[in-house]
Amino acid sequence: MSQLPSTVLERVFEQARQRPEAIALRRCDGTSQLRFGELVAEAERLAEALNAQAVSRGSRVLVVSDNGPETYLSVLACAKLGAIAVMVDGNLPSATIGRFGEITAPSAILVAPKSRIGTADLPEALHSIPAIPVHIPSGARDSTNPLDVSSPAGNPEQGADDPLAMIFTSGTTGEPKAVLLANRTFFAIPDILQREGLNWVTWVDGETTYSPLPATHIGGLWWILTCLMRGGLCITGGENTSSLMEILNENAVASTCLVPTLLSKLVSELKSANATVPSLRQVGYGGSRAIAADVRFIEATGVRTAQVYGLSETGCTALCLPTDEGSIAKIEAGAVGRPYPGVGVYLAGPDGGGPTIAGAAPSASFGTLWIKSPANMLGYWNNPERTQETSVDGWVNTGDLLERREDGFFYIKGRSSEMIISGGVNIAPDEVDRIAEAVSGVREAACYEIPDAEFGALVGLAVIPSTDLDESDARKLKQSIAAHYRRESESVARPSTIVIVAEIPRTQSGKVMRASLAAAVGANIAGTVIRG
Amino acid sequence: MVEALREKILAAVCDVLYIDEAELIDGDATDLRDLGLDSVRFVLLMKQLGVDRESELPSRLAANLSIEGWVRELEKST
Repeated sequence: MSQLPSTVLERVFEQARQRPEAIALRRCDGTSQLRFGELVAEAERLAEALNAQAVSRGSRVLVVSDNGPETYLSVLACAKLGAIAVMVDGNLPSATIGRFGEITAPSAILVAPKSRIGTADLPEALHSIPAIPVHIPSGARDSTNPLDVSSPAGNPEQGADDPLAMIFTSGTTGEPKAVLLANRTFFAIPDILQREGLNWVTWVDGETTYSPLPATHIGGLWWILTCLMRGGLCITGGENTSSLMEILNENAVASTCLVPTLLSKLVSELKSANATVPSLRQVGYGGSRAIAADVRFIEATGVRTAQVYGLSETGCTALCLPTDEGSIAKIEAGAVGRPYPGVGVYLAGPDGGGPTIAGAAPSASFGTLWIKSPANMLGYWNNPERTQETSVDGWVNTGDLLERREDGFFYIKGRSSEMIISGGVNIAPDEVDRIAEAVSGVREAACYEIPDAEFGALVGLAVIPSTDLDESDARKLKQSIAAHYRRESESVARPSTIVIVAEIPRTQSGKVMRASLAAAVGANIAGTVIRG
Repeated sequence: MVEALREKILAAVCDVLYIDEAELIDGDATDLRDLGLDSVRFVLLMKQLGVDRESELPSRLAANLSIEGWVRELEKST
């Protein structure tokens, strides 16, 4: 493999040299189209505007995202100057954006056109910071000169370890942390796959891809940047679309990345319409627990799938479970994949620390997963204490509980921090959810903690049924769920209370927000709660 | 009196164990452990039946884990 450029921008510039007329980015409604030549020219122009506001290498720039082409253009403009793009969802409340500004002290703000918040609506604390609306000129295509291949490259003075972007994460609870990601985060894993000749996730040069994931989500940003670096036609936006299938078919999309809830939506649309997406060859998915039946359905249409596991802190994917013999059975059992070559993994048992402590025990077969990936974050911005807690000598503590089985795959059991301790026994919440979701008549299920003076905690279970139920049917469903737990679960993990709810609160990627669920059920506000 | 007590126990057992009366395969003699009674659900049932946890009654009930056994013990205690 020839030596590839060491920054994201350099790699996108390389594509612009090879295919200046090819479309790089387009919003799913057909607007904001940018060809590769235009993309780099507009990035240069926007970088000049930022430079005029004293933005330079290492400066932070808030990118108020609408998930469209202007958002990705903004990231590349920051990269041109060596500035760090701080990704902020344009739909967030003004106060939250203000808090993100407080944490990152930006020198400028770029506002994408379809953000709910405009330059005039920014919080007062940010009023003194120059804000630039980002627009793609409608005549960009006609006015752009072909890229001069002899012109200076994107940012040759920077390297793989230089920071490119920040993503905010608060997990399912807690204070927001700004995850600082280097250029290498966005190509280390694809480079490994290419070098090793593995087809776990594949990119085809110039292929059309679609991401409905937010650009402020590690999966969304990672996927679009990896595809731009391969000369892909990237369709973005439409995260609230009524039909994923239509977007995929209208744009003849070959690959897409989804979270499991969107995968379920796509499957439901395909079933209702009795249709397929003939152009589609690959679906990547991750972010929360996958539903095996959905993956099976997609694969039956001839599409390859790849479950990816990772966090913002591990620079997106560190483990992968692609289509393979027996892969559906593994997903049913809770598998999330196995590490890419070159990615270190370590399971810390209940008595052990991380892999870096003196005299660390060998990796356990069950425990908290630590990952050492070339895509791992640089750290949390301006938060050395939290960085030290999570990242040690290049290893990241995921906080997730996994089991490594003899097949070499890792099976998720929940979050260490979400572990419910009942009568001194640790209960992995994902495992409790998985058992309920196997019951006929259950569409979604999630457990939560009920504080209890005697046992410390009891397990509650919230269930969304597949169909509307009257009180008698609800009672029967609960009996059916309870009977399943008696067969499948250890005694202490069996829910003491089962409630029917209309909604289960989840993060954007589909992870259950268990504290919010407990509060909602407790306050009887999570929709219609039927006790019985 | 006994029938009302039995109905009360049965309702509590069905509620806490999420079972239907038809699942009492041996009728009121069914061992409640076969229907998922464990330490967590035992405590929940004691609370639901208003049993004094400091008394000897819980241990007597724990030694007779069936509807008929509990009717007998609770009747004695009243």
